[in-house]
Amino acid sequence: MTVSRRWLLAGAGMAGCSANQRGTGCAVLAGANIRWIVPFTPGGSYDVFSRMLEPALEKRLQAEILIQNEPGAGSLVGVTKLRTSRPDGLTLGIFNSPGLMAAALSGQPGYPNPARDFDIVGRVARSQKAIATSAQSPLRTMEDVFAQQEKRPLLCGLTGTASDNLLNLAVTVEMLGMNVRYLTGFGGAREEMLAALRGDLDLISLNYETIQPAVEAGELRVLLQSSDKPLTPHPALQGAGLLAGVGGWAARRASKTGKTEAAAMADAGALVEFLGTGMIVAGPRGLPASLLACLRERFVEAAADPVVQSAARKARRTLDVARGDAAQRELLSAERHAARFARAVAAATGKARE
Amino acid sequence: MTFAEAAWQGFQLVFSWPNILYPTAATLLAMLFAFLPGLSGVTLMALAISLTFSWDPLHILLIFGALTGGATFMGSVTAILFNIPGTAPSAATLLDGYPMAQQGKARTALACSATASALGSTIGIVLLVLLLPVLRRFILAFGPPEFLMLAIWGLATIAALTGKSLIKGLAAAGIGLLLAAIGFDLRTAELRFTFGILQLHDGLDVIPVFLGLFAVAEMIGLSLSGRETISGGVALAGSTREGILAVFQNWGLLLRSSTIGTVIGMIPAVGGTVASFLAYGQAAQTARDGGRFGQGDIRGVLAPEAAHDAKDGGSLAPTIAFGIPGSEGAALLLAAMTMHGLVPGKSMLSEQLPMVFVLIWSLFYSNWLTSILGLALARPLAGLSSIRTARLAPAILVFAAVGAYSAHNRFSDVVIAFGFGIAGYYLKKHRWPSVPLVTALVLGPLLENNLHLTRGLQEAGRIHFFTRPLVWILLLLMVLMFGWSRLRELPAKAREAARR
Repeated sequence: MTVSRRWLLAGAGMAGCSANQRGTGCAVLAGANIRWIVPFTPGGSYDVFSRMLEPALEKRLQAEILIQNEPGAGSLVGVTKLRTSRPDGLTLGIFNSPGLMAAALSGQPGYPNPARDFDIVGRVARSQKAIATSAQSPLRTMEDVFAQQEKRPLLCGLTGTASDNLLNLAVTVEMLGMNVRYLTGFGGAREEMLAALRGDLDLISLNYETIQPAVEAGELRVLLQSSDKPLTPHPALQGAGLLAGVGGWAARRASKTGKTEAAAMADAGALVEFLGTGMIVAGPRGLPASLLACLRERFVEAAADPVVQSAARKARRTLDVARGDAAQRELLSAERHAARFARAVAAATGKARE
Repeated sequence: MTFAEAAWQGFQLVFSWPNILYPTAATLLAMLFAFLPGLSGVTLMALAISLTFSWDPLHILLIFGALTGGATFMGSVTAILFNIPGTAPSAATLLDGYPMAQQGKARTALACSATASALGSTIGIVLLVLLLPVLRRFILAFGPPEFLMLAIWGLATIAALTGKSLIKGLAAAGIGLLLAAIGFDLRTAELRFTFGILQLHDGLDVIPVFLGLFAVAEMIGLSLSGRETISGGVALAGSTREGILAVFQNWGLLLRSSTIGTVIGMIPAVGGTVASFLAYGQAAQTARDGGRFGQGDIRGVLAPEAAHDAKDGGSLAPTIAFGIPGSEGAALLLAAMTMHGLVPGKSMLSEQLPMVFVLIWSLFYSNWLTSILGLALARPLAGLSSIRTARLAPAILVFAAVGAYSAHNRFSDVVIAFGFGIAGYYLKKHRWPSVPLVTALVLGPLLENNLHLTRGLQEAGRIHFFTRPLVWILLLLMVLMFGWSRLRELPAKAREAARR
């Protein structure tokens, strides 16, 4: 049997093509099991967003995604596992980037740098922070807050000292010149929410998604949104103040803190940018360039999948998707602001320990 | 719509065809997951979230109500038969359940556990329904001072659990409190006794500690003792009827334990483990005859089982009333509800009341289904206690390792389990009671955090400890229970004095 030269060339070309496909891009993941680390307990925002994305991403990568909840040490256990895993695309994860940056600011050892220690695949959503109180509280607006603090310090709850919630509260307190007292010792967000509902605490600073059911149920009232635009169009947020932007509380209180309006607005904008780096999907540093590029593409496609979009709408979760390279640029930019927040965090933690 | 109408509508939605298939399938799956090492009801709930995005909200409630209740009883089966706490709260069940299995009465213990579970959950659900109109006020009445009193009460019951040596018992409780201090200090944000080990930042996880102290230690002891089986050749005695009757004969204890479970379930962040140990402690403290707790007293099975299952009903309360989950399972339920547009809170308690009852009836059905299956399976399951040690011990050690690892996918937890296994073996060998140690380990964080929060709130002028009615009620209950335990000793002391 003879084989013509033409057939030989065609065969060699096809073989080369398929080898090339196997060695580059997402083809290496086809049929594989991908471990997806969620460094928090099941049921929270990070877990829910991961489970929303899972089927759409599986379809596009032709791989099986296994979600592993690895909570502990304020997400450090799971994040460390992600950072130290092999950069082969078989381990991906999701983390809270402002939380990691805030923890590093508080001097806790071992926290990785989200911008430099990982290859960022994409951003799922921005962190939405809010300062809230009980719906039964006499504090109905920020004007009430400022009137009340003239009479006595406002009692604010803290969960640990290494979180973006603390950073948000500490920086806001400093930015607005608020008279507060901190109470530490709460085991988590639900304990803080209940303490606010009982009237034990005046103010709590938490992720809006965490308090959303209680806010929409009319139990908690949002006083201040750490943003320059409303976090959601839900009527429960009508009347809630904005921290940043023109007419935001940072600008309105500038004279009280000895700043110009422009400087106050810049500070508030920096905080919003820092918090907005949000919920990041990443792999360990050193993913092959072609694999990373492909993962970024597939991630954006999966997030745009009608099933994912519909699930997010149904759950009233706001997706704010960015490709990995854009998200990484934002992280590097936000990192510049960290130093200016360090003083406020140190002041709050010092005060909390008194 | 009236309350009764909503309850009836909810009943019809659950117990109609084909709706009933959903809680039935969910319960059977939850039982299977709870029985297999390395899996749990929470794992199943997390998986169910991914698989049910496009489902109808009614079916979600049918499934999650059943998943909340389905896994509870199965954790107790392994606790009674093999000294393996399937879930952390089951650790209180094994304290007397396993000694019963050693005496050949596994069937009685299993039947008692199943009956107490069904009746405890029913009482929990009845209390939940009765409290629905005042749920908000009831939950908010509990703050750090009340949690502090609960922790003190729980620790005070240790006096009744020290066994033959009070000194050894108190020392074991001290060790438990020290172990509870490991990890991140929530007050100062400093790390204590972690020695740079990341996995200890959140403190010792109770599951590997329990697996070590009970399952691993027991298997080491069993292997070294030369006993051929758990029941040591004792003929399998006991009966299902005896186990069922024991629950009705101790109806006062059933009521008290179920109430403790429901109330603690309603308080987010306290947890089912505290409920089980508190119920066990009060059972030992109030036993009219002093009891043989720790040596196979059936009331030591009844009390934690009733409290553990009653807690499920209670844990729905803060989720429904405020949208604040009371447990890890409730957090997943809340996630599932919000993902399907169900908003908990006042509107759910008024406009969507039938849906609340769907959840409650589904939980009720699931608890009864597991218990009925448990009763039916008591006899064959009891037979497992006569498996030969040479075959059983390696299997149990593997199960313990898998169980410890899978709680957080951490190998360090396996090391902790086996470390505590060796420690537990020596504690038992030298007659140091482990119950005070684990009770203190469970209650230590509750005591410390709430002592600090109470002090902070008092200093800030937000609360006044001695003007809170519930603090006084809990104090009174504590004094009454102590008074009762002293009073019941009087006749014996009087007899002894007369003899002299």
